[in-house]
Amino acid sequence: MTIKTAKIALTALWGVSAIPLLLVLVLRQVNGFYGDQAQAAWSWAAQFVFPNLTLIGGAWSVAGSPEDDKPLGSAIVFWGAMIVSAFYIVILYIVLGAQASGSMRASLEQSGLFLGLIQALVVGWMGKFFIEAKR
Amino acid sequence: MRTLTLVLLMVLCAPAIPVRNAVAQEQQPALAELQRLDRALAKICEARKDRLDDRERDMWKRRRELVDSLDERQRDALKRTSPLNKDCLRLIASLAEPSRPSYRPPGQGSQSGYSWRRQGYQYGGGGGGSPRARMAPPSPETPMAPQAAPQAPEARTAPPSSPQTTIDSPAPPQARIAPQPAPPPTSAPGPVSNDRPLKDLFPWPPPTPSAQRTLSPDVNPDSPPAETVGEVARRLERILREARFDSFGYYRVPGGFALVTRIENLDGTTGEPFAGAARWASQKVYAGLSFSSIFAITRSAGYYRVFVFLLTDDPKEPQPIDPEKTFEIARTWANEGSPSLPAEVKALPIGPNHILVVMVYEFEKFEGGETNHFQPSRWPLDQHLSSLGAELKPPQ
Repeated sequence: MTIKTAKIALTALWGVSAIPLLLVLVLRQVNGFYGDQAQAAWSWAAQFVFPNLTLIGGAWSVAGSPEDDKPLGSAIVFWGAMIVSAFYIVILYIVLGAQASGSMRASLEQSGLFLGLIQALVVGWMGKFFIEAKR
Repeated sequence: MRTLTLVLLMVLCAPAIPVRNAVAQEQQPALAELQRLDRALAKICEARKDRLDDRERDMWKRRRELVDSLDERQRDALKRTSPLNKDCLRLIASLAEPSRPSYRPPGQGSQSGYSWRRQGYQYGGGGGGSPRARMAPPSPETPMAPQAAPQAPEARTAPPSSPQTTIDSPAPPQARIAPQPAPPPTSAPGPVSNDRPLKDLFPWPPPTPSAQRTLSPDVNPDSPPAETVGEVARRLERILREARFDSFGYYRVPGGFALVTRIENLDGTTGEPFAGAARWASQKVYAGLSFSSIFAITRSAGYYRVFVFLLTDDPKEPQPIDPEKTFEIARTWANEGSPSLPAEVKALPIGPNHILVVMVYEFEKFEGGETNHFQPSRWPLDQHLSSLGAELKPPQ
């Protein structure tokens, strides 16, 4: 697997997962699902979804280099980033479901306790992957 | 020389004027500070705390000082605007000063304990005391005047009995609402009742209903005129039992009672109560996480209803209360009331001033979200009354 293919795979994972998630948030906002807690809902998204997307976008915004066509140096870093990302995305969807089936305030506020920790792990692993790809 | 004297006089008087004005206006900031304190203290009740921290104790102490410094007019203004209700005040008082002695006259008094006459802060005379009851003479032997609570006529006309000062123990909130032993009658002959005393209808005046209608105290069109409060209660209970009400609770109101039904879960499309056990579910049992909940873009809502039958000879205008708070009250209203009327209340005669009012409270509660208290009602009152399955007699 080349570095470029690995980057595309990671980007696809995040793109395919984040678009429906954001779409649900927009539709909920339009339907008044969040009531007077819309700001809290979007703060949640800004805090736990957008940083990862920004990191991927930032990596792609740098011009492509000939190294992209080289084979992947460390498969562990790539697969680690994929698995941690997938795990994190599943948790994001669980929280999205909890907003509807439980107390919204609790789900928004309390999810921050664990999402922050997992997100740090995800961003760290993804950052390592993108930096290693540039070497 | 004369000019000099005049100037000297003005110079001497000048500092006195702002001082006098400052004294006159000193109360306004006090009132503002009290309102600020009350807002902060109200959070203690919202959080249902069972103990206060040092900051909250200081706030309570400061509040007492400020209330003592207010005149009667300002206390009235505070009472109208304060977010603290009677029960909340009692709760905080019991938490802040558990060993503070409170006067509880034998055979009456607030069943929740604290009576803060010293603060001039008695909401509605402890739940709607009649003017006569409020004018009951305080005992000269007690440092704090007794809180006059609504009582049976026997007790109202009885001479003041010997005072008895009790020390309230620092009981948790649950314990404070527990029923207390029935007071012995002070003057009226007859058997001693072992019934639970009624609690004051909380809140009083009642929250603004979604719909209300005055009825005849005779209840049924075909029944003979009701002679006593007990007879009215019996007729209403029969209707509720036939309408398969799970439970109901009684509260004391001036000259009668309030009969509150257990909160019912309504079908949002028809307005009719659900059948079976679903009728009594006032709280959604959250289902596990499902695919549909992840992609749900609207929140499901529950619709709820409570009936309050109010028999009184001193009706009061309902008061608007926050929907969330009203719903919380409504959820436990029936359960916290007394299951039956004490004998002395049952024996009260129905007078020409007695009216029976049926009030319906309708709510829409979004899952994990806001609560709407429908005002006016979403479904017609006649539809609600027809679900009782009995014809009710209009007032004559």
